[in-house]
Amino acid sequence: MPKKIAITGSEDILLAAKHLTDFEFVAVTGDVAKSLGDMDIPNKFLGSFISENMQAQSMSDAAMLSLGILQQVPEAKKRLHPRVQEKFTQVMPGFLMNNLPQLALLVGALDVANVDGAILHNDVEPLTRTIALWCKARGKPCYHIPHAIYLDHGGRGAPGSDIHDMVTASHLAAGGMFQRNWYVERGFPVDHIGITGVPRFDRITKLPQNRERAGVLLKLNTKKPTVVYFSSWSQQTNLLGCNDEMEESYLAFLDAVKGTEDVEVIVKCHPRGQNIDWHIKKAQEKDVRAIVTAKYLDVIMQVMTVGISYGPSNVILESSMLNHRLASVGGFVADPEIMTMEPTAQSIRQGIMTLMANPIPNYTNFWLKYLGIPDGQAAIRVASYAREVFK
Amino acid sequence: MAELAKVQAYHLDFAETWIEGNYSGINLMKSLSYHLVQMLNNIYLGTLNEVSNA
Repeated sequence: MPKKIAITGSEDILLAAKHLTDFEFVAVTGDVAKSLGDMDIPNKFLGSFISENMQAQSMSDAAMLSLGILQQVPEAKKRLHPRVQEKFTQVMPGFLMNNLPQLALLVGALDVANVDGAILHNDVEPLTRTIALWCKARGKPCYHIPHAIYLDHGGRGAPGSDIHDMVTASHLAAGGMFQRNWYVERGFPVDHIGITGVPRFDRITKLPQNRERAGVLLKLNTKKPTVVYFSSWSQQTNLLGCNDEMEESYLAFLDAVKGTEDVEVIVKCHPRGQNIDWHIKKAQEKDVRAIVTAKYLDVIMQVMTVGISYGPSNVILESSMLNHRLASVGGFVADPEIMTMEPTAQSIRQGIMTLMANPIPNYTNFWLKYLGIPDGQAAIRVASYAREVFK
Repeated sequence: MAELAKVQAYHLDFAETWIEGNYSGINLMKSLSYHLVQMLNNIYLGTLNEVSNA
């Protein structure tokens, strides 16, 4: 009998799914169903297991559950900061009714579909965590293939104080030893972790190294070096990330490159940041001539001479595979291969000049730490570990 | 920063443990931790802004 596995969507999971065509996939969302279909991978949409009765039942169940939860609020809220208590009480009814019907329906659909387990791209957001908790409650394996490597070096607080620290899945695909150890520190059983590499980085090994063509596509003068600044976004799931450092760092970068005619400048915004307009506005205000985009990462990486990320970004890992000179404002402090800059114009300007004057570092140890062996075979290893997880 | 770290840890602990929402053997309040922490953080930051604007 083929294994019937619920599956959520990420590039890593879809790349691994190509090698698991003997599995019977149940796509949790319509987007995943379409992506699998586009890849000619047969699947059923989880929504197809939902009946009208189930929908009505889940609405009714969610209403009852909300009542039970709201009854706990007066006592529970006493533990919150006094100034938070009133607002918390006001928003809870709407918060629950916005979320619980969908989750109750998800639980019902999983029960009817009776899957043998799940493959998830994270186990912390409401939908994915419910699936992970469902697997746990029903005694089925849940394989987490992380959509990113969390690279914080204590910046998010001690282990256990960030939502991403909550381990619910039973098995994990780790990019390299750093990610493995990160999860072990947070309680993940070490014998349930496969070191696989990162499937979405497999493409880098096949990326054409054609700086001239990339320059033509981006209308850049390739006789000049190209400095790329990888900006970020703030997640409000952690108060330690709710500050102005990302903005200050970007403004410092603009000051560092302002008036420089000797380099081309690209500002690459985070694809989920939804803050490109702000980045364009600030570049215009500072009169910095730059391409500002949230797209075209692969083309940008081909034309890049120096890459600077705000904080410890995954894009530095990708860029290292193309042997670029790399830096981070405040990140990778323990990795000598990556220059750590201060969020000041002087530090960034001096850092760019130093990077360009020095040879490209040897990234072998850096790759082993974060990416295992970046040989373009990570998707195969992730799929291979899936067979072990669901055997 | 130490105060923020303390509040952050507290909000996560609250979201994970202080309210029970059992549904079919699954605590759906834990499912909602991600959004609950975000909401508590936003409320907390809002009160800080109110203080600084006063």
